[in-house]
Amino acid sequence: MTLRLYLLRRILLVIPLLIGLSLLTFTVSRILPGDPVGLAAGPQATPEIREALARQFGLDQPLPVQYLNYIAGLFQGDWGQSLYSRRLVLDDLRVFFPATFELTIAAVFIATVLGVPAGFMSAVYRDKLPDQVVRVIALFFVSFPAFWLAMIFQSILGVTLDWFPIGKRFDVLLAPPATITGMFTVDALLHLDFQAFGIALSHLATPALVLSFGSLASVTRITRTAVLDALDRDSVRMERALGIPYRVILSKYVLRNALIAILTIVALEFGWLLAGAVLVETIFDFPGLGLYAVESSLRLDFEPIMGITILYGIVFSLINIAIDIAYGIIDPRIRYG
Amino acid sequence: MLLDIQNLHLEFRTFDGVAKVLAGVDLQMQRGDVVGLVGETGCGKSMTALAIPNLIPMPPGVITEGRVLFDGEDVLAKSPAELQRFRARHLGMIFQDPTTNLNPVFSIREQLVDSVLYQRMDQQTVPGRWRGWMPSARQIRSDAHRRAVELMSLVGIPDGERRIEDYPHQFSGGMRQRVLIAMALAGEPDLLIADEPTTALDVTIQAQILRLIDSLVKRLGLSVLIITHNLGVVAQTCQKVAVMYAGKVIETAPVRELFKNPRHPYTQGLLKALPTSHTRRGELEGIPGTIPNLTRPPEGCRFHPRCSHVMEVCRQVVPPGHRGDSDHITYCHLYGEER
Repeated sequence: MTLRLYLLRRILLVIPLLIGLSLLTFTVSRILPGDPVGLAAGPQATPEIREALARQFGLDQPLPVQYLNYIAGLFQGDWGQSLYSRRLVLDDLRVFFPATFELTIAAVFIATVLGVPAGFMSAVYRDKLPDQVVRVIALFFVSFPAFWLAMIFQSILGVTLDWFPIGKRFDVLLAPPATITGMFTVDALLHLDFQAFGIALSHLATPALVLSFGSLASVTRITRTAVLDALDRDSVRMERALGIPYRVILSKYVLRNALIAILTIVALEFGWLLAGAVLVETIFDFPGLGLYAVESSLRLDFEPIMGITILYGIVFSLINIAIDIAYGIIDPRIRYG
Repeated sequence: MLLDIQNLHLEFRTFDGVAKVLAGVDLQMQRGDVVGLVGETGCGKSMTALAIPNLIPMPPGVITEGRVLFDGEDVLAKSPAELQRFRARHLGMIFQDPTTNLNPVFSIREQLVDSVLYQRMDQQTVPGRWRGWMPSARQIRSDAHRRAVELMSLVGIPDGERRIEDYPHQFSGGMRQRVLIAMALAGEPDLLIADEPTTALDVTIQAQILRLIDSLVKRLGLSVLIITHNLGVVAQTCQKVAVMYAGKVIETAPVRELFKNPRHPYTQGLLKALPTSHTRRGELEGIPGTIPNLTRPPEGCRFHPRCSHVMEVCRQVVPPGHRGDSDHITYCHLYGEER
C-alpha cells in the first residue's frame, strides 16, 4: 500500500519536472539565432509564403502564447509537427524511439553481462594478473573514441569477417516485421518469425557492441570498486570465521552488498546511451532518436526538439523510479514513505 | 591441550616499514578453560586471536615463526578447504562491533540458517539455490531453520520464531551481539573466541552479554578465549588470564593469583592504574612512558624502557618464561631463568 502511494507520488512529481524541462527547452530553442521558417520554406519563398507558414505553425503569436498552445496540445496528445518535413512528431517518435531503445537495451545488456563478471573477478583477484588484464582492457575501451571503434568494428566484423551487416536496422530487400512495439527483434519474436528475428539481431549486433564499450568500461570499474568495498566489510570476515565457503560468501553475500552500486551505474549508463547513441547511429546508418534529435536541432525544428526532450524526460524519470524501487528490494533498510 | 600457540611471530610489511606486531607469543588453553587475553590497544591481542582461525590479512601480514596448534594440528599449515572446515566445525568467533559484523541486507534467518548448514554439514551436501526445491533439500532446510530458532532461544532472544525473519537493523546492539553468538555457536564449536565482545555495547548490555557467555560456559562446557582491554571483564568471567605487552605475552596466571600477586612490573603497573572503591581523586598511578613503535621495538625485553626495575640484562636478552607455583608464568628477568 505504501509502495503504491509512493509510486503515485513519484509519478505525479514527474509533471512539474516535465513542465520545467519543456519551459527551458522552449526558451533556449526560441532564443537561439536562426531562421527555421526560411529554412523550411526554401530560398525562393516570398515573404507572403513565409508569413503564411509562420501563421500556420502559430509562430506569429507571442512566445508565452506559443508555449501554452504547445502544452495544451500536448495534453490532448498532439506532439506537434515538423516545420521541415511536415510529419507529425508523434509519428516520427514512434519510429525512431523504439529503434534507439532496442539498440540501448542491447548495448546495456552486453555491458552488464561482460562488465559485472569482469569487475567482480578483478576485485576478487585484486592486484593479481586477472585484475591487471581487466583494468588495462577497461582503460583501453574508455580511452578510445566511439567513432573510431565503430569504424574498426564495422570493418572487421562487417567487411573482413563478414559476420554482420555493416549498417541499417533490417535487410533492405525485405519488409521488417509488422509493427507492434516498433522494436524489430521484439516484433519478430511476437510474430514467431525467427528468420526475421535473426536478421534484426544481426543488424543490431555490431552497433550495440560498439555502443556498449564505453559503458562496459564504467560498469567494470564501478563493479570492481563496489565489490572491493563489500569485501572489506567486517561481515565478510565474520562469514569466513563462521566457516561459510568463500565461494558462497562471494556469490551470495558480497554480490548483494555490491548490487546497489552496480544497479545504479547500469541505470545511469542506460540513460546516457539512450541520449548519446548519435555517433553510432550515424556510422551504422541506424535510424534512431539520436540522429533525429541532431537533425532537428540543426534545422532548429522547434516541435520535434520539444518532443524529443520531453520523451527523454519521461524515460529518465521512469528509469529513476524503477531504480529507487529496486533499491528497496535489494536493501531492506530502505523504506518508502 | 586444546590450543597451543608457540612462539608466534607476525610482521606487517607496509610502505612505512616492517612492523613486528607479534614477537613470540606463547599461549596455552585446556579444554573447558575460560581465558582472558588482556593488553593495551595495539599490543597484538586481536592479531593473536585472528591467528587461531588463520584470518590475519596476508599480505601485508607475514608469519615468520611459530605454530598454532589446535588439538595438536597446525592451523597455519592447513589448505584453504581444510581451514574452511576447521573454522566451521571447531571454532566460533565473535567480534567487537555487532553492527558491522552482520550483513545488513540479509535477514537473520538467511545468515543464521547458513551458519547452521555450513557448520554442521559438508560443503557439498548443503542444498544450494538450484537444488533447493528437492524434498530432501527442503527437509534439510527446515531442520536447519528449527535449529536456528533453538539457537535464538539459547542466546536469550525472546520470540525467536518471529524475530528470525527480521533484519539486523531491527535489532538493538545487545541483541545483535546475541545473534552473532548464536551464529558462532551453530556448529557446537570447541572454542569460542570473543574479540572485545562488549566494547561496543553500553554498560548494562555488557553485563548481560558477559552473563550470557558465563551461562553458555556452564551449560555447554564451552572453552572461551576472551580478548579485552578491560580487567573488570576478566575478573568477572575468566579463570585464567594472559597479559600482553607490545606483541608478547608477559604473564599468565589464574585470575585470583594475578590480581592478588602480580609479578611482572607491567602487570603491577596495570593493576595500580585500576581504580578501586578506595581510590580518591588524583590518586591513580599510571605507567610512565608510552608503548613502543613496533617498527623499531626495543631490544631485549620490550618493556625495559618503561620499567622501574630495569637491569642490564633486560636491554639485551628477551626474558624467558619463569614458572612459579600454581601455573603462574612470568616472562621477566627479575624471576630467574629456569622454566
